[in-house]
Amino acid sequence: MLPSGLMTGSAKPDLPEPAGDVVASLARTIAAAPPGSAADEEARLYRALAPRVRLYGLKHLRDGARADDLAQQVLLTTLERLRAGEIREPDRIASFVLGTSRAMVIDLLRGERRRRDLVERFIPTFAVTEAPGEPLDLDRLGQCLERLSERARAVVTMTFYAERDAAEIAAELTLSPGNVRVMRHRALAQLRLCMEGADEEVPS
Amino acid sequence: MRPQRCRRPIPFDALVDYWLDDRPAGDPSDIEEHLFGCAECAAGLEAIAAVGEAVRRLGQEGRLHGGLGPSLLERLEREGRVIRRYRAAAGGHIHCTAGANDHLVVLELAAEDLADVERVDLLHLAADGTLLQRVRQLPVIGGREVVWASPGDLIRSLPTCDMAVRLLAVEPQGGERLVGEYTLHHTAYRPGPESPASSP
Repeated sequence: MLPSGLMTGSAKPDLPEPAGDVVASLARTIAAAPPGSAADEEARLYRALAPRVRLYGLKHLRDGARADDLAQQVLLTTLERLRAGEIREPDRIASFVLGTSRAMVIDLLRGERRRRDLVERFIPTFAVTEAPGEPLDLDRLGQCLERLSERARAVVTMTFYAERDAAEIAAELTLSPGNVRVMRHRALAQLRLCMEGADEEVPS
Repeated sequence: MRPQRCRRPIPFDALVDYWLDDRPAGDPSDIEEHLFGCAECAAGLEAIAAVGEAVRRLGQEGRLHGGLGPSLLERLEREGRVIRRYRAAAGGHIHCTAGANDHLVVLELAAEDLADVERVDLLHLAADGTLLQRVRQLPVIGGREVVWASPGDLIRSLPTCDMAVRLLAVEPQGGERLVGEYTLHHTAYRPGPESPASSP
């Protein structure tokens, strides 16, 4: 059974996320411990790496639910392999997780054969669900978008909502693709600061 | 969770290009290897993903308006939003209203010589010339028109009135010139079994 911390996703918000060397240290501890006895380390490793696998899944699968499944499957596989002592270099756990993610995405894109198999094998036993991230604050994003120029806002919304690439946006707005990319970089950096509260002028 | 500092962070621009598949052709493995081992850069990518998801949600919830382009309007219509459109050339008059189900009321304002204009601002004026609103740096569509989308709720709340819209080309040095003026003759929305006017 996996540790209860995985069931809740309850991270202490002020604790720093483990750095790469800490993640490696967690992997070494799990690999060296009797199977299932390093519950706290497994929970910390899961919480550190699952969001990155989810992002990788979002990037390549473009589907939140499938990305959630991927994160769960990759981390379950990783923990099982660590427990079984099948990962030769726990120090390179991040690379192992990336490699596993790649392989699983390929499999998913080929028809989800492996996904069904893993779900059947693990889900009834572990029923592990990583808690989703902070809910999106749409009101705040709306306020942050309002602070962009109309043109920059159009570039952002055309990118993410209309799903147009830089060349298509450039053609529509009579700009160069390079100009669109620069505007997009600046606008997203500004939105990130605004969403993180670093932009004090944004109304609360 | 507060990520540890990264010794060699991936530039934010590169993260954006990676996320949007807009990177110069090449193997993304180096970025992906780094992201799996680096909490700070992963947090940067997560922020980009979160903004993208939130923008999508705003669109799906029908909360986008203002200077929208054809691709955005097309997407909104594909998702079932009702859009009432009015088109006018510079100097034109628009007889407009909003129907009960209109989600957006869109003005498509054509003007000459917009292709080389660096910045276009839009002014809303009351019938007596009072400035109601100035919108800065609108996107110019196809080098020939500006599209302005107002929420249907807002338009339905207006009384019958006349207004004007002006498009100004703003020079980098700060000078301005009028590139288009449009007169709006708005008829108030009257709720009832049928909307007060059909689409134009």
